[in-house]
Amino acid sequence: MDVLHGLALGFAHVFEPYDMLMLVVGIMTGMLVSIMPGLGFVMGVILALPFTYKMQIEPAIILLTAIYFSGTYGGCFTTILYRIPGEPNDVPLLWDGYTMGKREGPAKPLGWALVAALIGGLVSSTMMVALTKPLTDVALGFNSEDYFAAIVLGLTTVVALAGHSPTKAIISLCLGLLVACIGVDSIFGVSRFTFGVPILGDGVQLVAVLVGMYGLGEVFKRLGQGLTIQNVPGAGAVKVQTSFPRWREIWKIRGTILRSSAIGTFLGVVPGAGATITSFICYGVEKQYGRDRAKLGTGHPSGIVAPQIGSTASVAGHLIPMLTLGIPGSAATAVILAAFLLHGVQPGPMLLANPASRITVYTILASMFVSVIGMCLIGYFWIRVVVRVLLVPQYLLNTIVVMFCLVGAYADRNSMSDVWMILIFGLIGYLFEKYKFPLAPMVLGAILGPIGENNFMRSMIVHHDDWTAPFTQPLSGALLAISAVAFIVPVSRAVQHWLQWRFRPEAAAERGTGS
Amino acid sequence: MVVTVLKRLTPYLVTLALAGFLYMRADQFGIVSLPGRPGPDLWPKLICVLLAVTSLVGIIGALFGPAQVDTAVADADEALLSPPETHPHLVWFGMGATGVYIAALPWLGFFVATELFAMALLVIGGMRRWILVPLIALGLTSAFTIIFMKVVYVSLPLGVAWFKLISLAVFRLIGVH
Repeated sequence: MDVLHGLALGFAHVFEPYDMLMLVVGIMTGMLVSIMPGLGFVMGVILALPFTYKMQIEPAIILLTAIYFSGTYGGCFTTILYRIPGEPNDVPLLWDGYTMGKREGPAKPLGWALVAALIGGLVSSTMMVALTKPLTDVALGFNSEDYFAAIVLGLTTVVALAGHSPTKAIISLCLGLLVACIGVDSIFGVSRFTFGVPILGDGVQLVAVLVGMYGLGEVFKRLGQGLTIQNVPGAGAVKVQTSFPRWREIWKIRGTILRSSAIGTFLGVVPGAGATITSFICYGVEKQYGRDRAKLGTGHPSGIVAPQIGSTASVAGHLIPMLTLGIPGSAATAVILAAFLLHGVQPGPMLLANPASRITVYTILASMFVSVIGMCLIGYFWIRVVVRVLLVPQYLLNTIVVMFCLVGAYADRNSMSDVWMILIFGLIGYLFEKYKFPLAPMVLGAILGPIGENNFMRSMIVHHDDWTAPFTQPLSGALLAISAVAFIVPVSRAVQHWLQWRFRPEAAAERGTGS
Repeated sequence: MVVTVLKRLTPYLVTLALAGFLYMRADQFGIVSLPGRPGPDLWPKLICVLLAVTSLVGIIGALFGPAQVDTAVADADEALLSPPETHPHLVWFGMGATGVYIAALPWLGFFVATELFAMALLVIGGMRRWILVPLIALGLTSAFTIIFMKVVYVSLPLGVAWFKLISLAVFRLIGVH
């Protein structure tokens, strides 16, 4: 009852003119950035961040959340129409969406994608809202050991899910954790790794890490690729129509809808399992276990619905741990966390426990529902216009993105040092991409590192320097055991692959081609 | 062959060296751990050790592991999303231009520096309509000045001497006081 009352108040806030305006702007921006390869919804929330500095916290988070939601949907248009996946999570849509589009015209697969985004978004938002209160109650009972263990779990799953090489993911994570050590230590008040540079005393700004690695790094990468997009349509070929599937057709694939909604929502909660992983897993599950698995890849609705539901459902799944535990599970939620911190608000269980900030949480939760419905309604019309952005020359878009990154970072504290930091992290981001090191572990390490360290040190102080305390407490022990499994599985798989290659090269080659 | 191995080794050697360097720096913090009493160096040292061990694993993997792990050719769909790097020199031009821009910003002021930087980025990005380049750069610079000064309320750098006068004149023109 408490939740419903809070949600009703939240809806009332969302429909206030300014909040509503930000929601609509967010939806339109999300679609705009998600159809462009090289931009994407993470870049969208990063570029929008400077505009939130002077806003109240509610419209600021509503704007970013709406970009995130609609960003998981907008890319389906260019994927289905022109075989241009705007985002990595759109790649599975190529296999059935584009194929169906070629066979029956693009209106039908676009209709399926719209229905999938709507269902995925609403189901996961409902499930997550229902879980908000219980999760907060659990988190309120956390002690230092539990928090430390939760952070370790978050970081290990990020490592486990980040790319093909656990070695590279761990190195990326360590670098992020070391970046978080720069500055004055919050427990002992000692300067660490500042090298006599005064600006480093405040530590590295989160915005600089995010904007540098995801924003500028991506731009540098695309410069190296020659700023080309394949399959760009001619000016006359940009036409979009959507035709909705019938109820009977939707009912036929109810199993796919249920499975993908559940998997998408659940995986969304797991740190590191972003929209891309969720989308691929949902498609993979249908391909393995779905009733129409043999038809997948030939332009079947299940092949469109599963990945699209997975992508959109993961957003609500990501937002809730960030709101209730203060643990972001993806790059986009990390930016949203940064927006909270820039407004002087620390997300976590106290956010919902505190009556003053409770309404903010419910407004954000209510905005998730409105965003999902809004993106389907607005998308229906807006996408006809926005798809023309593909005709804009890449050099122009690139210049705009660079300017937003640099000036946006400067706007945070009016500090040139922050702009230098962005260039440094842009270079690191580019080198990470070049050498195939995953970005997410470093970014999440930089964000979660201080929380993990503070709780670890607090636990050591409380337990008289007994470092085993987190392992012996029931909840933290269980979380650390899960972390160990999450860590061991990919590492053992890599070792197994290496052993196989070393001693049975023909089997390894067979597996390589098979996968 | 040697070049390929060296290329694969380089990132791990760099991270190993970094781990060693930072571990030694952690020993020089104002307060350090004593036996039975952890200090502010404990956490960074733990991470440095983890980084060093992982880097060593990476080095062993690069020396004795399969080459195709690092250079796996992405499938056709992934290639659509992220084509291979064909113009590495443009990356360094872009970074260089960005570095010069950041260094020049306090001296030239936002408007002049951004106009020049936007022109450079457009040319690096491949625009070759020489008459349009300064005009588009001017349009972008004006738009960013208006957005950040009148919407986001950021105090942008004015520059020094003549550049300051130019910045002030432009700001007056767009109604910023």
